[in-house]
Amino acid sequence: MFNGLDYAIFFTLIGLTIVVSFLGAKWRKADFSKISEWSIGGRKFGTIIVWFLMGGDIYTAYALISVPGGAYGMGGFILYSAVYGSISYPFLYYVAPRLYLIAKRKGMITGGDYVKERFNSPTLALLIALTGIIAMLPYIALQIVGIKYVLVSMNFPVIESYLIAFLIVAAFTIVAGLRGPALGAIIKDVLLWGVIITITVVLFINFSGFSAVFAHLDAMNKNYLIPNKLMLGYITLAFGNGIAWLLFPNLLTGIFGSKDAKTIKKNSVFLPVYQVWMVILAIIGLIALSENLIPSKVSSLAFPSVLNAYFPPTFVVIAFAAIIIGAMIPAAIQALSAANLITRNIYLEYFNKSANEKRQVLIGRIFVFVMIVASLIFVLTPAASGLIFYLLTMSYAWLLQTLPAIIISMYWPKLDKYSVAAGWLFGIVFTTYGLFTVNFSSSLLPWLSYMYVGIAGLIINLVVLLIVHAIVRLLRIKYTSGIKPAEFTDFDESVVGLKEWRKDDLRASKE
Amino acid sequence: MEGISTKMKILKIFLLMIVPWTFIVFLAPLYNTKYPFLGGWPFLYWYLFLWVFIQPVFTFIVFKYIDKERW
Repeated sequence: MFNGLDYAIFFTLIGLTIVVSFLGAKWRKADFSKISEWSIGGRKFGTIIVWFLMGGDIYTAYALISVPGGAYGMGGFILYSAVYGSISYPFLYYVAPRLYLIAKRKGMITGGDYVKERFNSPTLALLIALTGIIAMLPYIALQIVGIKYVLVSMNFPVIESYLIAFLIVAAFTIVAGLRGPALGAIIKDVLLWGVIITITVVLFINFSGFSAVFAHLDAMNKNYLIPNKLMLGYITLAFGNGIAWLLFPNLLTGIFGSKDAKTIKKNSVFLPVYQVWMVILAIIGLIALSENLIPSKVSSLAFPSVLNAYFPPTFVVIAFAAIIIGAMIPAAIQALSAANLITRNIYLEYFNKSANEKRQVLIGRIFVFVMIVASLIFVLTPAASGLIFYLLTMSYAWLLQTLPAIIISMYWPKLDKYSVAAGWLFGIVFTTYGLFTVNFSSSLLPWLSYMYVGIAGLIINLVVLLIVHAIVRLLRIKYTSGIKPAEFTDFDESVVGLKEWRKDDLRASKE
Repeated sequence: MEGISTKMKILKIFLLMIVPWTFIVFLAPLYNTKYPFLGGWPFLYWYLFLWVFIQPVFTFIVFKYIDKERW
């Protein structure tokens, strides 16, 4: 089906992206021996780069493999993926400037840094950091599995190929820090936009505005709506993911790496338009169903099978390369964020308080690899060989439990560390238990009307939080915060002392 | 800049959270329907497709007229 030239194009595209990203290390000269430089690119990114970076982060193998696969397997239910984007961006607009501005003022680069300062509690910071790290694992696994399905549809030996791909990603992530993925993300986005627009136009014409897809499914008596049984699951999943999305450590890294709060706001006006893909990709998944394109019924092959059926091999390999790049780069950014968390909030805090920056960088590099290897645990879960979008929802379920610590704490000055920690514990234990009851094959609980496990966990989390908080206040237990309520702000200009900070920054950059 | 009025703060929460949460998420049982079709698309699909473009308009209104940021 594919000839030598096709394979050559495939590998050249992937190789080229890696090389360019590699050269990206020299683009905008930076001092990579400094941890903050290595991990968030010295806070110098402008609007366009952040836009690409965040886009490159969000639209991954998840969008291209798991969304069509979900539509193939579960019909309209998968539209939750389009829905949650439409609520996560306005939510980001509301809360992220506040988080970014305090982080910038206090020199924080991870969510854990913020929690430590806000609650004067390294222990709580550790819990939050651990949650972030564990939540990254299914996400990285999703990328690996996505690559696997692409290679399967190209008749490759699977395990070897994706391990090599990820080792390369990890290696260049370390050398180039965030600047590498930023350049690569530009290539990826250009490539993916080109591919997706082409596919959409061709299929749109082929299926007379997609109406033929729905007509055909109606004739086959197949459901493309949200199954009524799963309505609560759909609503809680869309809502829970939309709120938790921002809590992803790698997304926080992107936010903290922005130039100013206004840049974040601008990005959250524009970025939701990316969401159009989700609806279209869902419909593409339905094509695989209506035209019966997957003899093996493996849902994750929906997108590759549609490509194979309607496009020439040369175009297909370009699209496949784009998917793989689209999985590689975010995986690198995710592993980087996790390594960052481990170095700052665990190693530095608990193992070696006096570690110099060189040592910190070394630890960070080691943990990039550790993360990628650890994510293989989730590659083995039933969800990875079934409906792989569930992997991502597991990440969100755990991350949701950090909502009180990271977001609610910004708006509730009296919130104390004991109640947040207690809520977190109950939330995490329940979420993990819930996932066990369904054997990690999904994230909806059949014994709770198919409610999303993350929202069920959050409800328990908040109830425990309120009870413990009432006790803490009643017994007048003392607690402190490293951030005064007045230090929180939503606007760039009004940050007290920011002008001085900027002068210092300017001076530092001249030296 | 900091001094946006309480009224505006409520409007901001309304436009950024209440509106999208309600129309895009919580009304799902109502929008989960085939009819009316538009251009061969079932209601569920074209409704959500439209919201992808409507929602950013609200955020833009907040950006420009409540936060009074310059583009």
